[in-house]
Amino acid sequence: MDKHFGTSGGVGDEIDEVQWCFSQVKGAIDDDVADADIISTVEFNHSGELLATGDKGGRVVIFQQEPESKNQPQCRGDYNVYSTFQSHEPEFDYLKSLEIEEKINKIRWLPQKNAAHFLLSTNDKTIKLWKISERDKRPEGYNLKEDDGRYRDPNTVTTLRVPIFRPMDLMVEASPRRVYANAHTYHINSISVNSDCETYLSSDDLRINLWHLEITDRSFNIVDIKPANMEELTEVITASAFHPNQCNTFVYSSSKGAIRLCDMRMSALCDNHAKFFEEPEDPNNRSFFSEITSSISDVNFSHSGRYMMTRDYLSIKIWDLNMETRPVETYQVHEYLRSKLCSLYENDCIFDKFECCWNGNDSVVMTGSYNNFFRMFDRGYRRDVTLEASRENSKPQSVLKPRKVSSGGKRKKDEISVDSLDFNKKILHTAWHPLDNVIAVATTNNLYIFQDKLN
Amino acid sequence: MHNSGVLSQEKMELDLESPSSLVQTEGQLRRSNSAPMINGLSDNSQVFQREVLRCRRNSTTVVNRPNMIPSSPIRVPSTRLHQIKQEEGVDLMNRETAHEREVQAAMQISQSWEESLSLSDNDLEKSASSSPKRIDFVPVSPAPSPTRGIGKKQCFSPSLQILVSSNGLTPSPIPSPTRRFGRRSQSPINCIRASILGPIKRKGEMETESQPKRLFQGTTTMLSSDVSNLADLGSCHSPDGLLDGSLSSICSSTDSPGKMEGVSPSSSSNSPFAPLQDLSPK
Repeated sequence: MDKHFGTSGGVGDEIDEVQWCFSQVKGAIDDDVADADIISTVEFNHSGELLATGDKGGRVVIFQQEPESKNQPQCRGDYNVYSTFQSHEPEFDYLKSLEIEEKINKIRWLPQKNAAHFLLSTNDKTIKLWKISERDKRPEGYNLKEDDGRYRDPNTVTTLRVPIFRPMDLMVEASPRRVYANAHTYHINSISVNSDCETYLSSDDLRINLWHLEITDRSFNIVDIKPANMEELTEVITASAFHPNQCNTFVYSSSKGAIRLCDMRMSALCDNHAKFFEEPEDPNNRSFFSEITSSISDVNFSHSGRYMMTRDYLSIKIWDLNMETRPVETYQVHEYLRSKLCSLYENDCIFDKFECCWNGNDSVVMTGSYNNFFRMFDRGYRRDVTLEASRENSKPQSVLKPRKVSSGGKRKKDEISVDSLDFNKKILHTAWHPLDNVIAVATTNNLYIFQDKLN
Repeated sequence: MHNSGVLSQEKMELDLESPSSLVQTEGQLRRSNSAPMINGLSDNSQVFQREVLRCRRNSTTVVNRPNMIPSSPIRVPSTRLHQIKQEEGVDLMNRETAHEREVQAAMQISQSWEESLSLSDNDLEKSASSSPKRIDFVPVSPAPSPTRGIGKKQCFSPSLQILVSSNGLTPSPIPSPTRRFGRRSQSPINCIRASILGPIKRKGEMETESQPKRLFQGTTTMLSSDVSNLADLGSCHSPDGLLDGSLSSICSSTDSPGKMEGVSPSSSSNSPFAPLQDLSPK
């Protein structure tokens, strides 16, 4: 069951033995961050060769990993820009007098079936299917047009020739193949491709819709938690995901910290859950902010499909799908913030939505925090590490030094006190290569790529 | 428990704000809508009461952020749950209050319209009264218009690391993908005018203005919204060999949305309405 990554060793992998090194950083250096450049989603494709990012300006940038060079074996290739396109534009809903942001909320890759790559990208209202394909030949020698497209003067055409294909510089085309619009009253928070590769779901605050990839003008509504009397509304949907293997199963999380698993075989409408996962509240930790901090910001199945992981404001919880009463593992991401919740409420940081991800063999989970810190938890060896994504540590192949935050009292050397954390530098989006120890970590407007040290 | 006066004020605020976030309301765009009132709140009322609302917005923010932990745990207005409840008009009485306000606002509107439209010698005076502010924003239906989106390819050259046109020949001088693309509202007229001058750069002018994208794909068309989107993606260099005297003939042979002969190229003007005599190169 244990898989190996790179040359880091065998079954006895401990997280301490994995040393993370800086590999690359993408994005502008200046501190003045343009709003449009704020990264809003990061996603590897199924092979890990492509890495897609979406930003607040509605653009998608896809990086491609260079093949390993023969000169330097065992040195992974760099990720370079492969394609970039404007996915969504701002729109205006004149009925409600509201601007619809072009920010890309989520990107999901479809499994690759032919030479082209397909991905779904979504903003608050509209999901689009994009085809990314390569072109390396161009037709030349038309009779009526010059090669640059201008029409030739008919008088100069004296002979007839057959156009031929000539090689050209590789060009990557992105074209929108489907636009799935107008199915969500509220803001779309998640999309998830089904393992059947034909359908996908999209969820907003109150509803989940099931789409067929080929059909754009309608979708099935499979979950609707909007009550007849809005007074009775107590929670909203925050995230949703399809099971990686079982095409009939999906989950959705709520703002109250509960996860519902639904089976589409039970009925057409999945308002009644098949399983209900919720941990009873710890009375010691109860506070005015309990409900806010228990709101789940991300939910992810493990690759195996046996477990799922949820992220709330302060912790990561791993759930066994066979046990609904409580999580099997809980990891505190930044417990030192528990006493600061009042100020975090004041500056709205308490509403930040952190994502989380699994590594390829489900042995390690990762999530972001503040001050450009991110955290990894090794499930097997119960160890965790805090690392930082910053330009100071950006010499190629330089090993990242673990960080520590002191929660009070004596501050040891090299520790950072809670009060000096920069809460504007938050890492909300992280992604782990599905097959290798390569991670992508997004700060506000920069994308960092780290990899484990190869001997 | 609730101060209904305060709550209705809050509600009025929250109803008008985007559901996405309470925090990001400052730059929110509003547009006057002359459509009949279909939903609860009239759009007209929002526009006309804008000045008043701006003050209220700030005060509401203060109200919603008590410095100490409020005694009632129910008041958590920044959560999505609360925003949705407010939008849907939870309280019947508040809904009626809001409706009353709309009706009154509508009456005010019709009165002020009558005043400003009536012929009188006091026109200057009347124009000072509230009139709908013109907002330069193109309304787009929630469904994408058929001229944009589907079928439009965007091509990128990994070796050159720039966007290219779909025939692969004419690279466009786009800054790195991490920077914002062009200007969304750039009029197609600008592109065409600048192209007559060719690659000569004028001081202070951005590359994107001097080298607008040219369509070499036959008769399609600078007229469609394609051009504005192309302008968003930036502009193309035309191959140098074409830029001598043959420019004018090139321009006249391509489709253009109007009479292009005699139009001087724009220098660094952003406005499509700049008078012709100002457009000579500096």
